[in-house]
Amino acid sequence: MTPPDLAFTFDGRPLAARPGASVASALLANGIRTWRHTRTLGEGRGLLCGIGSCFDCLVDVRTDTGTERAVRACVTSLQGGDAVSTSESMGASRTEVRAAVHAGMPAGVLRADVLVVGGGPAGLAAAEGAIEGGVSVVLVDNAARLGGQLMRQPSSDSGGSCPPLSPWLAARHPRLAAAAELAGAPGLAGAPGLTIATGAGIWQLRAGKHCVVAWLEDGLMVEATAVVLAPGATELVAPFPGWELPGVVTAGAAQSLLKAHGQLIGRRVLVSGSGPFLFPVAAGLADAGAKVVAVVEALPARGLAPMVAALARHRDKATEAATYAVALVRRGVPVRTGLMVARCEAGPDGAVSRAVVVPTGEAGGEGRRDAGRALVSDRARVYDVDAVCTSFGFVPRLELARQLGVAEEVRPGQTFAGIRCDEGQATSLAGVFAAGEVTGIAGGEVAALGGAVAGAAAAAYCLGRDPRGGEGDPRGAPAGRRVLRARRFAERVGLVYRTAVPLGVIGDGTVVCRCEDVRAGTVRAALDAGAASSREVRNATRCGMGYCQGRTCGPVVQLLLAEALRTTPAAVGDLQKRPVATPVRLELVARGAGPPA
Amino acid sequence: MTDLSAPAWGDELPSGADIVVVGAGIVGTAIAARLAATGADVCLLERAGPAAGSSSSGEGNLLLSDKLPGPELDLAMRSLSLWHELGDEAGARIELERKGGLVAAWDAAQLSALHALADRQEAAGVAVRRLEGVDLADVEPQLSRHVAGAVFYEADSQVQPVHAVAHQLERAVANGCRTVRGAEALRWRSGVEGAAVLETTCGSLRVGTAVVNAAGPWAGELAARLGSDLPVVPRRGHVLVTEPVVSVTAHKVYEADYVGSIHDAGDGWQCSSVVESTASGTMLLGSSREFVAWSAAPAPAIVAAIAERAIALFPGLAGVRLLRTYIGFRPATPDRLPAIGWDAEIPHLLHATGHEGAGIGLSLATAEAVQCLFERRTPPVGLEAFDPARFSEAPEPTKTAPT
Ligand SMILES: Cc1cc2nc3c(=O)[nH]c(=O)nc-3n(C[C@H](O)[C@H](O)[C@H](O)COP(=O)(O)OP(=O)(O)OC[C@H]3O[C@@H](n4cnc5c(N)ncnc54)[C@H](O)[C@@H]3O)c2cc1C
Ligand code: FES
Repeated sequence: MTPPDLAFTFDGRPLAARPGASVASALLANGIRTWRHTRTLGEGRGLLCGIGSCFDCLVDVRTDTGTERAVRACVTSLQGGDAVSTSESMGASRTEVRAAVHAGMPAGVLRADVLVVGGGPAGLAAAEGAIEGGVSVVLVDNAARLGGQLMRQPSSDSGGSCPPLSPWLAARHPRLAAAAELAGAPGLAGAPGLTIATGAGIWQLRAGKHCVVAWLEDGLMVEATAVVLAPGATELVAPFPGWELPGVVTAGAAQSLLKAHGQLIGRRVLVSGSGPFLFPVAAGLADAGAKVVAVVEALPARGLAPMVAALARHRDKATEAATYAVALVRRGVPVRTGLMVARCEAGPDGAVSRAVVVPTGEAGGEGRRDAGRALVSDRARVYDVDAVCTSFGFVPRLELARQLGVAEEVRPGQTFAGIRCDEGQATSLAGVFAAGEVTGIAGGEVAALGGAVAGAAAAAYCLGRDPRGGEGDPRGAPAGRRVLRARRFAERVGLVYRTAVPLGVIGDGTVVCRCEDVRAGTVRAALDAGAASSREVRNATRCGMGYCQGRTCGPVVQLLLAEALRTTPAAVGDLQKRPVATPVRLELVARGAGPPA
Repeated sequence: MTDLSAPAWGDELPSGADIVVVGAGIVGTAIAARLAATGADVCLLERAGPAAGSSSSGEGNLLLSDKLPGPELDLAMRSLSLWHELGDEAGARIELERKGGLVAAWDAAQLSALHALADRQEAAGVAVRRLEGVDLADVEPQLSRHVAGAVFYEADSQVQPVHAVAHQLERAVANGCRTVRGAEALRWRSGVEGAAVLETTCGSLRVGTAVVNAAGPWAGELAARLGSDLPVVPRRGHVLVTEPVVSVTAHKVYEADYVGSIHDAGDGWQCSSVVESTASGTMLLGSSREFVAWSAAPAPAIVAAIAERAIALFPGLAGVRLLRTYIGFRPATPDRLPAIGWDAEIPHLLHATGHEGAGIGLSLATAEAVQCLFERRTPPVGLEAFDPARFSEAPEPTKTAPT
């Protein structure tokens, strides 16, 4: 029996959506791609990252109790009767504040031995490892359901395409499986020794002597003795003219929309960018019935040769790659290398309708340019599309690590800094452990293995034991070897794709900071005027001062600066210093003076 | 958006200059721009980048309302009129806005003290409007109804300090000022007969008339390096930045005890609420004052207190989201008045610093005063109260951070 549809309105139009839908998936299911106007230029925007990180998909929602302005459509679940309207990108005003986004969450204090931040493979394994080590755990994830990006779970009844988490968990993390069942909706769930808090992010994390305190955006406070940081990474999106159009989204957004809501981002989709992530996304979309017009990889075939060599040495990865290749061939999806999107153009509804693809070389300085430094190519190929997925890799999410002040490093093959940790996943601060993509982009296997070690080490720390004493690494030496092998693969992959971000397509009129409407010309003027760090660019241009606090534009600013100063992105500093890791209502800030006595 | 097509700045260190200004904050750049415009031979040294210090961490208010009648108010009034001239010239670029300031009193006692201050300010030529009841609600409809009364200062204005620094820098460079980035002033070079030579991390340069100490909260450190003793120490402040909001207030609104907190020298921290909108739609909430040296980690208790007091003033802020917080360091002297003038003992050293929480506002009149000192003219505002020598004459315990 199919559950009844939810009735809602968008800008006054009556519409219906499946129960469990997010506001974004409900709008997309109804063919609506634009639902925000930017504040200064009034341009249309829609979905971008799909995971609550970019704040580009802001929308206003009126319910019985009031209006919430500027909430993220991708992480706000739709309720029957909601009146959704185009957002002008401005927040609450006096009369229009609904009580709480996640009304189900009680405000209060949770105490546990170990706080695990992140519910992806690394965080789940860490929680399991810590519980196995004999201590209590609070696991926090800002998504509504556990799983992270890799194991993203369908929202209830909405027909997502991802296999359910429970069997996967049952096989790997038996203690978590039952509790995760309970954590079906945002809120608190638990089992002995384990509390899971989903649907709210940590906005502030502080470490004292033998204690860490986390403040959540819904008012909850968590106190623990040790912490495992496993917040993962955000997707790196490189701008091109038209990347801001509704319908142009990250590859991860298309994937999570499909996994969580069974919703296709479009019917004719171009998947473009650089990196191995393009393939599973394209294969997933094609399998779910989208026409993937092409997969376009910026690196030329010869640049990819080392990738083939790397795959030859890692049979498991080769098998995975082959699965995607077979899926793409079966669906007749062409894979083309050495090409990139030079620009996207809008259709009559203001959302993307065409993608213009050119040889990557032309973007790298060979191409002809008009007065505004925009590329003019004779070898362009035009695709008619209703969605473009783009991805150039991932950037470790360092904001919580920065709040604590743990040491960072740029691992071999990585473009951006991650948390530095030893083989025991210990960071430079006592009681702070890290695992997964936040320590450097290396994939789900390294994350899960590292998470288990981190969880066990955090437990040992709480109990005053030497983590390496006794039986040592809970998974034993073979696990260590697997981590090393997987890291080496990640390193090879990283070196292959490192140089693949084509900045040459960015014309002066291309938007760089989507939150604050800052164009590349303004950023370049700041560079010409002598700005030498990301911070200076931010102060001069407002890049990074918007809702996302530079999560989207920060890495781009870094890359542009590094290019101008002929240095590495890590050398110019980033915009990840965020004393407020996610926007939080002032009434909760006012409450959060400190851990209650 | 701002036009940032400033000429690239950053020259080689010259072999010498008549006047060497140290620090490219709002004060140093205002001085460099003003002197260069008169054709003086000026070189500006900056160890980090433009507005790398206090000047990028303030709210950019140009206030008369918080100034006590006397030399401080006189300097502020002179500076404000110079700002309005600059605003006419620079257009929208520096985001100068005559937004007006409103000072709110919570009870009858506060209100009568506020009125007494306003009376004296009015006598000094400041336009004030006493507001209560419906008149107050008219001007500030979202203000808490628990506010007993307020005074509105229509001349209070605001500027975007980073853009103002960029603008001053551009003017300085256009008039031939040389600017050296990454150059840190270290010490006098000894053993050079008959000439003053300043050593920097980029080499040495001859100084004709003076080194101008515009090193903001580091001015005490610089003075010490140059053989002097100037009690300027960093006074830390937190600022909270909210999401852009539809409309809470169009003015700068603050609690009447703010003025007291500036002059309070207590050891703990003070916080009194300052709430204002900006041209970009976000709101800035302040403000705290504490002496904790250069500690850069935000204090959760202070952040919470600022949020709490801001909500007390504007209950509608409760549901507005906080986007970020930042920390800045004000260059504070023991009496909270700036130090503008020649060093009492060290030749070739002139101070233009110590403006505490008002350096943006006071920068232009400070630059004018410095020019007058060089030209041996009487400045429009008397400088006796700001004489750096006052600290050596009447030794007062210097406020230092607890270690
Ligand atoms: C939270 C906060 C809010 C504020 N709000 C306001 C406000 O609303 N209105 C207002 O008027 N004021 C405000 N202020 C105060 C104002 O910011 C300062 O008074 C003013 O910026 C001081 O400017 P400055 O040029 O003297 O110092 P700075 O801007 O600090 O400039 C000093 C420069 O000198 C450089 N330097 C230091 N030592 C050396 C050396 N040895 N060699 C070379 N370079 C050196 C530094 O790198 C720096 O760039 C506020 C301050 C804070 C902290
Ligand atoms: S894109 Fe969000 S702050 Fe720049």
